[in-house]
Amino acid sequence: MILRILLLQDTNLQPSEDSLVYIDRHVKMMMARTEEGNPLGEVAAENTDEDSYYLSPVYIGEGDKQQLVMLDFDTGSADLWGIPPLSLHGQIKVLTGVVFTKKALGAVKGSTHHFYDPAASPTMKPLEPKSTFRIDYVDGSWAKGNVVLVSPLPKDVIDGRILSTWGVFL
Amino acid sequence: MKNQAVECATAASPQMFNSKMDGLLGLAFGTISGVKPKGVKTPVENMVIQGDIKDVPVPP
Repeated sequence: MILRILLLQDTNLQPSEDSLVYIDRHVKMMMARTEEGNPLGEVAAENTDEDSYYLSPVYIGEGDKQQLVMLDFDTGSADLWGIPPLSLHGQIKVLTGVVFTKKALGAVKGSTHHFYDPAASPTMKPLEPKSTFRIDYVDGSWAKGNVVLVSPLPKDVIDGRILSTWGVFL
Repeated sequence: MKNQAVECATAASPQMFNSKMDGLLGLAFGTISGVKPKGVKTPVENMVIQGDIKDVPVPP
């Protein structure tokens, strides 16, 4: 079974045949969640940093508390992770020992990260037993931290308004 | 969806912050989850188990 992600090129919002990227079957399953009853949901995959990776909008949340994060879908790993705001975990430290403040983080190469704040979810609870995660990727990058459980409402419609047909809603 | 584990990074390599990504969403089976002491299910696995998506094999 072949599934597809439509790529939205920066300069051309009309996906063309050669902009179709075929990846594993799980992706379309997730895309199918974006629209009730539509087996062929789509999610944008934004070409980032000259083909380095693709980012897709993922909404985690409940009702009007949807939180958008731009995630890299990776068929070779099994972790879902984001960066919580500093208020939750204090400063974010990187390998070099440099401590990034939120302001500095946003200033890195002009990028603006979307923080995922589990405390903003009414259903958030700690994972039992108390757990940590550590993920190492083949390019040497890594992340580690804590784990929470959330029970987001699988709603992509709020007050009858479709937020986006291009996002994945958890 | 109920009880989806979301991992909250408190530390990461510089690449993660120098890039535009906010995180990753792994599509592989949860058997290679990086969560300790016990691995967790991925969003896709939970969707299957909880019946949000159908007609696919239930992952191990």
